[in-house]
Amino acid sequence: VSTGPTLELKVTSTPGEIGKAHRALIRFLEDLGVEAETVSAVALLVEEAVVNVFRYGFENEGVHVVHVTLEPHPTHVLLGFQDDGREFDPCSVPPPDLAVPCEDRPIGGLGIHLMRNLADRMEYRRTAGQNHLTLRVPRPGTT
Amino acid sequence: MPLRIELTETKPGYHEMILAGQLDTETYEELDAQIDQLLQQELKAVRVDMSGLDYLSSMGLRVLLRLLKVLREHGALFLVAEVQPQILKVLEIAAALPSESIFASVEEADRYFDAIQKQVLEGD
Repeated sequence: VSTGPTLELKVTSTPGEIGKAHRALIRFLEDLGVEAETVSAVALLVEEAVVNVFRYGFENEGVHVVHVTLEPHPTHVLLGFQDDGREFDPCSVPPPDLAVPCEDRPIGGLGIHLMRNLADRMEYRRTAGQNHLTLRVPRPGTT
Repeated sequence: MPLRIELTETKPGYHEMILAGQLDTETYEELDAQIDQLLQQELKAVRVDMSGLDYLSSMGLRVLLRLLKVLREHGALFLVAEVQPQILKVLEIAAALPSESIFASVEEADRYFDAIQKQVLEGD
């Protein structure tokens, strides 16, 4: 249960929206004194998670929405993502084979690999026709 | 912040690229277009100065990997210099670049290229 401030963002699949979300979350986290390393990881995770939904979650080209929540804690930042795209569990995607030169690896999966490595917890559930993804980003000096 | 790209051929086949700002979902196509232009030219090496690049996402990384692949196919070098820590972390997680491609400074990268060129010339 969070007792501190949270940020809720509605990110749509129109150009420029991820940049707008970035600016809002950077301002929010910096105002709370969250360290630059964590801010940078959060910004990247938000882009990766949202882009994944827009790329793989929908059949049609319409404007889609991902609801994002940020919940800073002393030891970590919790990120929540919710969308009504097709069911997709990023936790089920196998990790890439790092022994293969990066440029020869299949396209895709890179974003999820970054998510797995920057977050120390990644949880997915599907309820009431919605995807819910939670990522926990550790803050430095707290592990 | 948008992406800024400066590309200069300083020696025959040696291209210096300065990347600054953000290389991500919203800007990667600009670099893709620059790579298409590069392919029209002689290619011995591309040295990328990343001192001003402060954000890299997987979409941006894919374009850098395309550049790496193209250069390998041409037998050319890909040298990266002055990478900020958060960008280095992304490159390391993705195991994107061999450590010998990453240099602390552009001068160091240039010296490496000159040494390789000398070896090639002496070998001829």
